[in-house]
Amino acid sequence: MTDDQFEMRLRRALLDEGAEFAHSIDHGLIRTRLADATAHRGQARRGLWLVAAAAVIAVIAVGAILAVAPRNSTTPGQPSPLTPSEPIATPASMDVEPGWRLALDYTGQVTTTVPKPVGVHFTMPADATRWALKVRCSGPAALVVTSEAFVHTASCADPAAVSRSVYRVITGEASGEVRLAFTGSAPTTFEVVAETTASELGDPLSLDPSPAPVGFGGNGPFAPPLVIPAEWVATSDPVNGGSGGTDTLDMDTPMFKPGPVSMVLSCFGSGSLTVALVNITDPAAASPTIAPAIGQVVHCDGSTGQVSVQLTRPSNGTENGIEVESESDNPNTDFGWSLELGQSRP
Amino acid sequence: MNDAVLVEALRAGSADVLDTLLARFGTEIQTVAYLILRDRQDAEDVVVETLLAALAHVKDLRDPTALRPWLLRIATNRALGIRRRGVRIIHLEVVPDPGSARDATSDSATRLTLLAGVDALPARMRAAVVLRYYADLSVEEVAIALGRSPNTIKSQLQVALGHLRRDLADPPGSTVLAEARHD
Repeated sequence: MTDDQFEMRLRRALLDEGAEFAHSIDHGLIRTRLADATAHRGQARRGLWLVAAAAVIAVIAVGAILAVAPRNSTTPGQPSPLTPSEPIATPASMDVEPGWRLALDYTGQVTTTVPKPVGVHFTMPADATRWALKVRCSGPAALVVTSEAFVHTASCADPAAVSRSVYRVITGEASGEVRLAFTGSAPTTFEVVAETTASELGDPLSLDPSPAPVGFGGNGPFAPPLVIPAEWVATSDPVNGGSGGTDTLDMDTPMFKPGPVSMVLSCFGSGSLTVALVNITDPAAASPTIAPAIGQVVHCDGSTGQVSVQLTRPSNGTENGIEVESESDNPNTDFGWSLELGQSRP
Repeated sequence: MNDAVLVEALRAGSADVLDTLLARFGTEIQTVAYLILRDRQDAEDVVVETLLAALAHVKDLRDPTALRPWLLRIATNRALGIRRRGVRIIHLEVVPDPGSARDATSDSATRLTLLAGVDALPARMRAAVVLRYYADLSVEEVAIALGRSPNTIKSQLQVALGHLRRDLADPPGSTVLAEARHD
């Protein structure tokens, strides 16, 4: 094959892939986001003038008050920075941070292999229809932010690393929880910024940082975050076997080829794991392929168990995924596992 | 509305022009970002960030006729920025389809292998390939977009093509990128 012919093939592969993707694009949400952002730019410009004018007035007013006020009128105690005592009268928008911003210091020691989760609860004003959460961290750790709607990872070691904002349109429920999991070995500071496009000030945003209990996990809506500390490896949080722990790894694998996909479950602690669900989804398939690994029990006594699944049809190149769920029957809270997935030559 | 008029509207600070930019360039920007990132949500973010950056920094655009490559340049840099922040990529080996050996040379198999090879390239090299062979930018435009010399881009493309050729000749030896996501 000549160079030109090969380039033509490559071009055609990319164009075909691009065309398939482009076919599924809907610019509605992007249009809304742009409109919000540009509207705020205008508000911000007007806001600067208002702030400048207000500052001048405030200086004059404060001077007048100080001139007549008694000297011992200060109130002891300061409001907790975690619970703003009252809503701050700023129009809420995607970029307005004062009043909607909360800095949390997290200084727990974390290991290099087991993520240490911290739950952050939030409640949006009742009329919030759009919101964004931003999580920033600094320190040597890696961070995984997980919620029901998204997962995002960032390296805190990079001082420029700021997790991208997560923008979601929500309807109905305007509250939730994000889980922050860190891997590292030194204190890490993180900050959660929540912003909303609520039109009126309703209930103030509340972020309720609650260090996760030992053995955090279980069957709640937020399974322990899976972290990818290194290539090929996903490590679960210590599973609270008393209540049964589950974890799910969903892999978008655009290029999985037919053939065996091996999953290696490595346990620490002792007990057993049951592979509760292995699901391979492919929207192009009439019926998703279910791997014959369900129900396999992996006994963990310090050794490594291994299960495998079989892909029986080629990927359509876009949406294949593997979902793995495992349960633990170990009552110990320091029991956990790591998962490796790989596809090798048969 | 031609590019020069669009640029004038941007320079005038007209936010309304973003709709036009989105209609004209949005799909291409989103697709380029997707081919680099392989993440739909990230690709959508790139479009938003690119158009807002265009509105904010249009003064940096000297040649109004170069609007499209300029936008693709912004988009590529945003995509590479996201790529640098993300750590969700794990490598999986490609295995051949044992049941369709006779299709090994089919278009579908070729496409899968080539795309797998592109995904496995280093990020900047992958971006160069996408800009050159999907967006059809010239080598010089790719060089400007990625902040490299044309010779560097030529060299990167040559290396990339070499890798992809080897992948096509020996698919089992190549690697595939996959994203791990906890839902």
